[in-house]
Amino acid sequence: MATQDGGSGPEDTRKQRPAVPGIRSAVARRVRYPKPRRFFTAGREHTEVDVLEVDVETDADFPIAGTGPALFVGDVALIDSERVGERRYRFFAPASTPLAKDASVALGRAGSGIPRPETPRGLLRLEWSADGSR
Amino acid sequence: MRDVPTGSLKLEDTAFLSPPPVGAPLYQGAHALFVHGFNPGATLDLERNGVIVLMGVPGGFPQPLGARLHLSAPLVAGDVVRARQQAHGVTSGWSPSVTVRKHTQDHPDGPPRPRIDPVPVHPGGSRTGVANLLTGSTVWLTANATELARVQDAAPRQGLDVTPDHRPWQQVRAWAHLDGDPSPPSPVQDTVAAPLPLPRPGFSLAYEGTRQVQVTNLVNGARFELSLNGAFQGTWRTWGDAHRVDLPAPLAAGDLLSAVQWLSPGWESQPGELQVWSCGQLPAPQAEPLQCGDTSITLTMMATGATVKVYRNLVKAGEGGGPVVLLDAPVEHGDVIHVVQTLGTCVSQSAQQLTCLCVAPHVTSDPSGLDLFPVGQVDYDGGTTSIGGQTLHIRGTVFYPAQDDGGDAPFNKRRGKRGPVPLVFMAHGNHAPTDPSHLGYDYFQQALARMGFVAVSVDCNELNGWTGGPGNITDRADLINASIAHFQRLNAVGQRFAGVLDFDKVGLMGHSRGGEAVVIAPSRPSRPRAVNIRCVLSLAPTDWGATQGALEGCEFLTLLPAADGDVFENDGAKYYDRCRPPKFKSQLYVHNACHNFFNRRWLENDNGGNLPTMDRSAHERVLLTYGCAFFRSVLAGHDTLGFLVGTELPPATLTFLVHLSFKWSAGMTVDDHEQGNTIAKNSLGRPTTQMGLVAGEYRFNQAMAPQYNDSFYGDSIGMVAEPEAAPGTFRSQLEPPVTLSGKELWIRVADVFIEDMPPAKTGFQLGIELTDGTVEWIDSDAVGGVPLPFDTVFLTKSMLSTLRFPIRCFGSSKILRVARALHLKLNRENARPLAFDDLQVIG
Repeated sequence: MATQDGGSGPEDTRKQRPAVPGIRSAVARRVRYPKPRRFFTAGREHTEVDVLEVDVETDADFPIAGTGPALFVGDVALIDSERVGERRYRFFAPASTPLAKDASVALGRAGSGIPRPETPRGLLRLEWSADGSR
Repeated sequence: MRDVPTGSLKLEDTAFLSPPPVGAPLYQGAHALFVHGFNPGATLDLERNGVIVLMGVPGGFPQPLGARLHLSAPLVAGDVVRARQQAHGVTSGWSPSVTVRKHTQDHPDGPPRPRIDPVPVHPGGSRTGVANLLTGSTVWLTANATELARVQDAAPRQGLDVTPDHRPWQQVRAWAHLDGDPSPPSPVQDTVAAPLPLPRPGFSLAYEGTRQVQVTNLVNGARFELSLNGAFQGTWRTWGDAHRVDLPAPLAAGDLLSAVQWLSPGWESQPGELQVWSCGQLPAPQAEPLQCGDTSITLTMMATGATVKVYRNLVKAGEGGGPVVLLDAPVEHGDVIHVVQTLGTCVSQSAQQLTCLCVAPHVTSDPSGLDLFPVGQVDYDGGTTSIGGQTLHIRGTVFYPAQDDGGDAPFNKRRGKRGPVPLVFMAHGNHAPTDPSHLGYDYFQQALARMGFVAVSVDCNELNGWTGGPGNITDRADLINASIAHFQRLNAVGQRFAGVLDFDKVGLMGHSRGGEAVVIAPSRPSRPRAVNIRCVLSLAPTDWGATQGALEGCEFLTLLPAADGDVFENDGAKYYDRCRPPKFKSQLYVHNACHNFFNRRWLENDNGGNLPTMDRSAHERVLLTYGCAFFRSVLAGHDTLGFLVGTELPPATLTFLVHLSFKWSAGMTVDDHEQGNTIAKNSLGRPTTQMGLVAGEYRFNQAMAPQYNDSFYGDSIGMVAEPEAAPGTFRSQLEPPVTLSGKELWIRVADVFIEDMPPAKTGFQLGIELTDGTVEWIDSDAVGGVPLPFDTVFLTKSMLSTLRFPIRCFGSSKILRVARALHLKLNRENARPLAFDDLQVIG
């Protein structure tokens, strides 16, 4: 008769880092802004009028905290974001950002250390909106 | 430290009696002073300017206040006083001299404001305690502006019997003056009814032979009645908590003490009782850890009314009534100290045995406790400004030294006349925009304002919410700078703050995203002209990538909560490593601290309670004590940097959870591994050698190779030494040899975390190789030890902290120590890889 213990020890009740929300969709588009938008590269501020916007739908909201959402498109992390609705976030990047077509997308956390993907990769791919220029 | 049977020791009693210290500081105008630490029942002599002016004064009991000695003429600045005691036919030497000063030398704005303590004050109360007094002050109490009590020649904490007793609906204040100079009034205390019935009084354990007992569990202002074996002994007034009563005769074992208390006649409490314990039950007293070089011991626990005797290597070296007992000579490394207590002919059955540690800093004053001024508070509104394409309000709250407490109070006239005051600007982090996060540091603002700073908390709530990115950080920095500019305008043309603000002495404090913002605010183009930001306190800062390069031109303190459930990676460690300050930088890695509890408006524990977490008040206490020490040192020139260096500890703070790093910019760096000259050479360009260990240089960060492992979260290059089979040593050459006498060797060290939490601490030895080739060693455990990593389960870090090795630890200070090399030895049975950085010679 099989036993339930399987040789495992008691569960460590101290939880791992709280999970980030799951990602349901990520749709990109290229937008030309009437007023330049700020970006930072290695702490240096610059402005762009040609901007990539990626709208992401999640299965829960991120908490409002010191850290915040990061979107991974392939290996590229986007950390400029704002919430545009319940469980909907818009990420921004300069249009020159090399986002691979059909890249896998994942969510992580920005604001502390190097952002790393924390949701499974490969389950969802970046879509481009019909009015996108790519 | 341990207790050993007194009977097993061959203790040699000498005629030595400890000099009784005179309470300091002493100020001109005082008609009395206090002498402490003498034997119960001793008589006291007082010498003033070389002339004995009081002789054979009965001292009574040294605790709780000491003996109040009245002077025929008031003290004058420059007077030098000292005291001695006579007991059991022996006369002590004279105590260290105290030189009288004018109080305005230490308190140029007048005596500090008194504080009613404890609170609340109850209707029916008959005695009220007042604290924060200068010795010899005159202090009085008013209720609804009518004087109730007055005491001259007050102790620093003084009880006043009030007539009539306090009544409901009264506003009680304390007032004081010294040498004709008035203090500000205390904060108002409204009388508050005490819950009934009053609790039963208690007693501290009383032992056969004592002539003093301590009644406990007393209510503020109550009267209590003491009986002995059913015989009425008297009625006393008390300010509550504990009250010592002197008895006419020694107690015998089995005597029954009984006490009741009341605030209103007819509402007596139930009686509390204690049977007096026998001599055989008298335990050893307990003392604070000793630091080599100490010239006194401080008792943390002793029997009421006892005399304490201290033996060095079994020969008496101190005797007094505590809580501080002066010794006949400094304690040296290797001395064995025994401490016993006596009551009459009874000697404690056990003795506490101590040896000194090389580094065991003592609890000293409270750096957040400087309480000089009433505090005014007002919201400010500087209109709007355009930042990052947004229209933002320049607003917040400001606390400042005022004429009296409360909103809209005028700025303190006396302080304003003396010259402009330093400012501290605070910036909160990201939270729900509907929560007024800027109100969450009021306790820190109030503390700073009480000591004479203007403390501004900038309302950044319009930048709070679900927005992420470096721009959110630069916007916060620009909004901080906009508030600074607004206060410049108020200083130029305003009412309350006109001409009283010192923009040459500005400090910043930021928390979370605000902690990142204050790192960049000094270098933003938005920084107003003619503003000198001298220091930055970065509390649990984020890293959104807004910083570029090192923070320069400011002294720096970062506070890193080890149990941070939001900013997991303690990014302030990078800012610490990168910072290039004019004089110093400091890092506090605080175990059991979470992200949110420093802000009173952030209610939830961000780590979800999954990690050991101090309570909120302990978080606030850490920020208060170390933060005030930082700003006071940099902006006001106060002698408070020792709290950040680690030479002294703040009281009532969980200092054992606070792990310090500290670096002087001007120290002689033997090796910080930043030169790219390989592990084979130190920062002086001299050769290093390793034997029995493998040491290499690694980047102590997350971003770049070569890394030893992924447990480092700073941004420096350091050394990791891995032990081999035998104790291994790493030698770093000094050429030319360096004279070390009177100096300290500092090194940052971490127990490198590898997969599993180690079961016990490890350590190492630091050695100095003298010019004749001999090597002297000191163990890390003698200077505080290498802390275990803080176990966060999923992100446990190797976080370095600074250990200080004073050269006096290596033996007699009479030997001139000139070193030609420094050694690190991994000598533990449980040796593990250790990370080292910043080996410096200081002093």
